[in-house]
Amino acid sequence: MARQLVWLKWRLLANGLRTDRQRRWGLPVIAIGLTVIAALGAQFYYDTSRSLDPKAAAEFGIWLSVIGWVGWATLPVLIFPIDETLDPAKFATLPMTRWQMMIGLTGAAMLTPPIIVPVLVILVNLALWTGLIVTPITVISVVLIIGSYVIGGQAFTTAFSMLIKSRRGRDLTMLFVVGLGLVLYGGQAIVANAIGSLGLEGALLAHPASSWAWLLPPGAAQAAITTAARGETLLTAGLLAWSLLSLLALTYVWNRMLNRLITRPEATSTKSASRMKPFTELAGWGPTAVVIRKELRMYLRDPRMRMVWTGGVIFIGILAATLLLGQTQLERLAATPWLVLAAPSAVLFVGLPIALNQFGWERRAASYLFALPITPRQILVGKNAATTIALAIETAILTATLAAITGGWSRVVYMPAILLTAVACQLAVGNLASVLTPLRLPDMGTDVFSQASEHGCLAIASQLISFFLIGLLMVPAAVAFTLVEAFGATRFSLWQVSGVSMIYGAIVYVMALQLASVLLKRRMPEVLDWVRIN
Amino acid sequence: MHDERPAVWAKGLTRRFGNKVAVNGVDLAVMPGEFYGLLGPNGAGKTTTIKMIVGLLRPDEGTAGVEEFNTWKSPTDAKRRIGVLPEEFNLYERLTGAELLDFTAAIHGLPKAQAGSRREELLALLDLEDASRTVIGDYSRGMRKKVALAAAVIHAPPVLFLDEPFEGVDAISARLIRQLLQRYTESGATIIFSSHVMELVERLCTRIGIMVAGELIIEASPDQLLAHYGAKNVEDAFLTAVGASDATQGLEWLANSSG
Repeated sequence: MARQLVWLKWRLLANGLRTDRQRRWGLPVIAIGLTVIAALGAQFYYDTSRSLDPKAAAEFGIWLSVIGWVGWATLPVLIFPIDETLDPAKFATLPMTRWQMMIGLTGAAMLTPPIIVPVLVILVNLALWTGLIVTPITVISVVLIIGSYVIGGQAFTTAFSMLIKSRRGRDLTMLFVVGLGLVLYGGQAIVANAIGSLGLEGALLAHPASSWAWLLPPGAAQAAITTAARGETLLTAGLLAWSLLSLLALTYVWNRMLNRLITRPEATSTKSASRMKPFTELAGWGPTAVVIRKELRMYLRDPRMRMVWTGGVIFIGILAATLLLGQTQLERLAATPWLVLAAPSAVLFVGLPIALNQFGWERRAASYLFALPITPRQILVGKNAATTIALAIETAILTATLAAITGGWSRVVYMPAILLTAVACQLAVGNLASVLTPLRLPDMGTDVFSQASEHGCLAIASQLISFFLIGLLMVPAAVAFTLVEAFGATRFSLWQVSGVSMIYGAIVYVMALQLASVLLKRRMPEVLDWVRIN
Repeated sequence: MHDERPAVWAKGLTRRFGNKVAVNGVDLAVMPGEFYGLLGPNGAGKTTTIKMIVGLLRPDEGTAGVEEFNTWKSPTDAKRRIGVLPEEFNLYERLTGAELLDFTAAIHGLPKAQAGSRREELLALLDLEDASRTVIGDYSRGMRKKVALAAAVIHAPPVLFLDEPFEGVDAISARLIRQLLQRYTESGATIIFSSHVMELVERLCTRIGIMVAGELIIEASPDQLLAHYGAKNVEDAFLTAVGASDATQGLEWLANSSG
């Protein structure tokens, strides 16, 4: 029975390659790319371990095993939609025991290109730690490490599946992703600072993972290899036993979670979700006005959209912290008042996933919108106005933050003109990209750029080209404001430059809007077909 | 008695998906005030036909429209005349039921006060008052169907397209919907209706079209249909029309399911 799940995974993989041309090209490219990266990483692990003091090398191995474990378990689930072949909820009605299901899911989880990463790390372990006693211990340890990776990953997938069964749970996962992003940023900053000040060897010895990582199954298994190399037989046996026990405990927890996932009904809520005023009580009652209002509500209520916009605020916080406290060359920028001028361009990165794929974000509701008697121009203008409002708020926050840090308050007057020009350029390209290359955004998952969908390559190409075009369109305005900054307002009037810049932005926007409206009128069914979620 | 001009029309509608012809040269003319039932087995092309008429799916050949408006030449004018209850749930999951109705009413150009009063009436009629401030993502299947129906009728369109309106709806709500639709057609509105519930089709529809493999094989009133196929009821007539046979022949092992 468990064998059937492995077969299912293989069949779906093979069928996907046979029927989907993008996947047929994409998967081998990903597999080769991953293999190259994993091989380079393994080489780095091997060379670094050989060059380090043995104690530091042992710590290095433990750190890597734990980081690899956490990354293996969480990142694929958080970045991509859940693999349907590994979603336990799909097998709830099959007549198999939970243990059979677990064995099947574990086997199926190994049929994935990223498996090359732990395999190579394990080969390096086997190459690094050799000896009459050490080699068998290493073999046992790597089996436990592989088991930790796969079972940990499956347990996390099950926990995630439980969470996303309800809408509120899906909202929580977004908060989790944002939190994880912050933790990762903080973690890499701490690691970079530690290595920068102490060197790799010093940092490893000053912050030994062995003091706590033995509590985790892969940490204990990795630690057992080094204790075996030091001849500490009793400790080695204890660590291996602990690794095995904690892995079994994790397996038991996974089993219980599977039980709950399979038997618990899908959660719904009838609590009032809206504390906002009803539509009828708000000002503005035309098609464009209600589209703006609808979009702004989505920004606040759709967790993925919220992630896009809160990402901007987090970016501002990180930038401020880096400028004020950073150990990098960036801290010099804290004394450059003109940095305020960069505020709108930074915010443009934030709004990009929404601006470039306006209909993808509609998901299933696109067919509802397109069945209504609203013109393409009204739809686009409504969506653009909502995006402009959100970008204006974020720009205002970033501008104030940068002005406070750099003392560049005098530059704040430039901001409305720069912002409107930049937003006009972004939305001009965004409207055309949204109509010409609409991208399907999966219901589940945390992907905001639609790169986890089958449009993968198209999504990346479209976004790169759009980004280049936005930058290109912004060049004239950026040059004009740079000249004012460089030569002073005596030779170039700020107000003239602001006015010309906004007129330029308006011309670019209106021309693109006209074209996008005509294209959308002609292509509505095609756009619908591209963004449709089955 | 009927206006000369059809309320809904289609000429030679054809749509292919790869090698499969989903809809093959369908001609349709539904007159104002008709309650038209579009029947067919799964995959017959009913939903595809409706999507092409309302402008959500481009036909490979042929064209369609509502009253004097061609859906593919004057889409906004055509859409102003219709209300659509789609088969799939394509609603805004993050709007509340009340917000969805307001949004739809505003786009259809209803004055704000009128939209508010119609919203309240519809929510009360469909027993959705308590859930009006709950986001649609938290609605049950039946509640979604009801709020989608409310959104389809809030602007009192002269033409209503209903794809499986009774699917997932409880008996009490089904009766309410049935009464609402009957009253609606009495006002002269036209309804195009697809359903697998033959008893409802027989009771509600004034004319029935049966689609098989993408083709409209017959159009007739329920009485004419019964006479044509010599059937006792619409279900029998439908099964005869689509050539359904006793498919369980050869599955004798199912009779021994206990062992």
